[in-house]
Amino acid sequence: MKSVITWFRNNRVLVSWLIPVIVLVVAIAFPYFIMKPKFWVPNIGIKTIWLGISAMSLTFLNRYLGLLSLAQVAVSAMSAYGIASAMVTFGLDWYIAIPIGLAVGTLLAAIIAIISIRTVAIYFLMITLAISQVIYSWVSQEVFVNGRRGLAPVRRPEFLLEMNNFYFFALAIAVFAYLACRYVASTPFGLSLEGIKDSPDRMRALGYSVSKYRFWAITFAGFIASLAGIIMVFDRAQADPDIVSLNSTLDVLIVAVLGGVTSIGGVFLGGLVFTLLDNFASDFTDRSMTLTGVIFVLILLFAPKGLTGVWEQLKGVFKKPSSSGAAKDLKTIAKEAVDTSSAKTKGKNQ
Amino acid sequence: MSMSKKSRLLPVMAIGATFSLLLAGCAGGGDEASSDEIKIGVLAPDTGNLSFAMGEAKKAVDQVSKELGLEFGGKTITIVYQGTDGTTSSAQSAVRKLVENDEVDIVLGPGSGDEGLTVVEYALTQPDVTFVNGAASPVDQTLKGADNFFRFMGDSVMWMGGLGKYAYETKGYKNIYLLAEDYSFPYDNAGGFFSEFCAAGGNMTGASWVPVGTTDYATVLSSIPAGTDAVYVGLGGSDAANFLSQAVQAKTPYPLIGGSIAIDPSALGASADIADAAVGMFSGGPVPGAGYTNTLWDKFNSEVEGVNIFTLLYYNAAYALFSGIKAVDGDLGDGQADLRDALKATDFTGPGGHIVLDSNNQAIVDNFITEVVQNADGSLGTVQVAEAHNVKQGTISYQRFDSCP
Amino acid sequence: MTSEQLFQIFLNGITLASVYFLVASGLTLIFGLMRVITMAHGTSYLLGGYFGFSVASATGNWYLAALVAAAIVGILGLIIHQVLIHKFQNDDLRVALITLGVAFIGTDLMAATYGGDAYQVPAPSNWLGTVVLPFAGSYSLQRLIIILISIIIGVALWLLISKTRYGAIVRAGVDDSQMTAATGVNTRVIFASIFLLGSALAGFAGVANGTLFTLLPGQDGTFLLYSLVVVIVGGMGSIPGAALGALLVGLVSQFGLYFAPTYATVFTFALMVIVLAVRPQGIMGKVRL
Repeated sequence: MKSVITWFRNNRVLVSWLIPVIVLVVAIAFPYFIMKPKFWVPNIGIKTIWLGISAMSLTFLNRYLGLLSLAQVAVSAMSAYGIASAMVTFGLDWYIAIPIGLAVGTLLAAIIAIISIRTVAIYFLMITLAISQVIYSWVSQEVFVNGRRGLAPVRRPEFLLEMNNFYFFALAIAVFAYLACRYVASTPFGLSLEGIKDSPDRMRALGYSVSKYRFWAITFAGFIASLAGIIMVFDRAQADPDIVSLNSTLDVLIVAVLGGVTSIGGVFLGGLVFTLLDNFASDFTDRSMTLTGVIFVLILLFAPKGLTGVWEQLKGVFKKPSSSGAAKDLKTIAKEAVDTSSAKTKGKNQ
Repeated sequence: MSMSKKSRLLPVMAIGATFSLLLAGCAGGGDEASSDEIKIGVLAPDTGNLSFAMGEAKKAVDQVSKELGLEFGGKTITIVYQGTDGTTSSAQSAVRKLVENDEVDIVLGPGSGDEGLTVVEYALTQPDVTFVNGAASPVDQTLKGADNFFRFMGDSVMWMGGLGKYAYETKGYKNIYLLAEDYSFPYDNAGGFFSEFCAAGGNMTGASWVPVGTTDYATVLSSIPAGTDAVYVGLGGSDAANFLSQAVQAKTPYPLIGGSIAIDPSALGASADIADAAVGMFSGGPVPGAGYTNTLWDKFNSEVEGVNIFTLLYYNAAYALFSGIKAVDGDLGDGQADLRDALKATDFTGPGGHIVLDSNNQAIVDNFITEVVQNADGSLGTVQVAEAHNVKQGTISYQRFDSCP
Repeated sequence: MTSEQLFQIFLNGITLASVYFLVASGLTLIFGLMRVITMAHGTSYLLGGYFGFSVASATGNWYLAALVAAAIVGILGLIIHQVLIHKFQNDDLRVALITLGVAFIGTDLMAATYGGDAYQVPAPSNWLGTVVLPFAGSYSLQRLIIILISIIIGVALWLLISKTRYGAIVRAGVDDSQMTAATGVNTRVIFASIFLLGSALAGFAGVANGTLFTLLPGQDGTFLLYSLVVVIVGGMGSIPGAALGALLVGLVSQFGLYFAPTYATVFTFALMVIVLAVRPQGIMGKVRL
């Protein structure tokens, strides 16, 4: 027993990868152990993945920049529109369309960054909300993207027609997005971001160009959100204004809050709970939106780190006050593993 | 956060309970379809602005089951209802759930225009399932080449059939201004009206395409050019009620012509002061007004309460579908081919007139022109002023236009 | 465009502005004092309108309806503040999210109760009809009355905040709530009263708007968005700022509706994006972010 604990203690980096790897293994096995893969793979699996990636770009900004952006869905949607226009309007192939979509989404994120760079906190939240509403109103009217009718059909490329292939394609993008976020966070750039988040004035005094860092962080998050757009557009087979509506924006926000607004990996748990609620809540209640709202509020009141943070709270409940030092270390290790340890509780509240 | 241990336990338990509830719900969903049942999934909005549609769809399906029964050749029909919120994304996950989780044989729906194309695109990927449209009216639904998709109602262009001529010839209007919401349904609906009106010799004096949910129409009313004889109001239900109440306040001098959803019950039944503007307004659509002579229509109204456009359209669709299943005696055939042949051969007269299908599985229908009147009790209703027969689908799907299309 | 049309559109813009101002003034008061945004503000607005409709159609008394709606919504706002927000007052994003959750619940329950139909609050009969104005021609009397009411409320709020002892405490609380608390003022009561007042204003705005136009599901979201735009453009926490913001948003959306109706909504939000990009604290906001 003791040797196991020592091993954990000596291999923290390894351990911090343990849970993501377990989740990945379960995700790979997922299509093979469910009863109705034709339904579960697209409606739960693939949708969880793209909601999760879009939410990940939101939690990344919140965790490393302290900014809550409501424009991430608009970025995903513009990437989806980029792909849809390339394929439907111009008849281009998917391997040309995807880079176009990523470029459109990332470019939009850069523009959003330029517009919003001077705002923080609640102002940033509202300006990004306004930007996403501008985009919604614009695509609803714009003839080039076929207004409210939207662009359809966006057919999946040949090699993705098989649903499982598409699922693993989506999963590969999710893994890439996750690794990219963790990699960026571990670079000097990522560490400076956290410094800026905690005390922008001090970092400014140290000679950091805070605006420049913010710009690149928002643009990077935009790239992540654009990745979600690829999966979304092929999953939905169309790009229409609904994907950038207020409801879609709030859906991703709910996913982020359920998973934990400071957790990079928790978004997939949030996405899973959300898609399950979305598909099955109506089977046992007429007021599924009220149910979602109540869960949302309860989580914010009692588990601000989301469902992934509940694990920590559980340990807080069962941990005996007289636990040994070794157990305490285990706790620290597990904390890192659930990917929430370094995120300081947002509020200085009590 | 400083929470005591006890208060930490509470949320954990609450979240755990939610999870188990969810899992229980998932495990319960979707029993295997047995070979002696035919499963029909009904898709209709049950949240959002069209939330009343689901109730109407249920009434319609109940009425058809009462008339034709639920057993055909030893097969029992079971029905699964699935709600949407009227948006494309909810239609997509709902229709997938019906087909892939509930494993229905036939989908009856969707109910809102936005959802229409999403479901057709999906139908193209599910050749083994038959889709019967509920109440969605976009033109190109039946122009996408989906042979497993059937529509027993007119599209939004056909709903204006006869109205343009009526306005020009019978009412004598020469110049009409367009006020409509800026999205696909009014494009087609108004396109249908103005193409007929302009072809008859009429002139369009201008257009205001306003965003859905516009609150204040006073500015639009004040921008109508001189020399206009009447205003075409392409607004939907509750927005139309809002417009009419302001037309009353502003004492608008123009006669009004309604788009197909401008004078539906949600507009006429609004708890607002709209009578002065609404009375005399006329419109075209699939729902007949008072004075329509058809015993089936009278019977339908006496047996089903509060009939509106959704009740009638879902009824026609369900009636055609059940009749098709009856015709093949419950044996849908290989890849449902027999059922589809039976549906293609549909020829029936129902409460909303005569219906046959064209080669795209799109109905050829009767269309009705109705005018709003005030009943003796002060409520608003419609009377029939004209009807058009054998209205066929065109091939044009309209875009926003500012002069005669 | 004739000059009469110009004045008509101008008056329509002011009408819209006065409704936006009523909703936004509550939001700006709450933000000014507590630095939090309540995303349930649109819900308060629509709920107030529905209550106003129910009371006015039952009793036939518009004034009573307005009073009852404002009172009930104000008290609900107070309860939400005490139960859900008070503990997290220093965490603005969390408060925004919690109140957003409240808005989800409110939207769903209102849709379940009132359905998708349009409702209009019956106006007092002597408000009906039109008056002839110089330059503009005839204009709806009830619109002018609503404009007048909102000007009176605006001036009263401004006097309350800038001239009374209560206002002095509120302003002190805005500048430094800890110092204010240290001087013996019970800031919790002050915070609660502002929340009550702000929510009541939103409830009253629902009645006013429901009288001129109609109440529809979905307006809770629209009015939340518009009031956010108004306070951001005008400068958060400032009553004159909310008035200016409301005026700009009202006029931009009405003239937009005349010149390019398709893009009327885009213009309104673009106005906010421009203001924020150039002057993040809003036109009359203090430089403190």
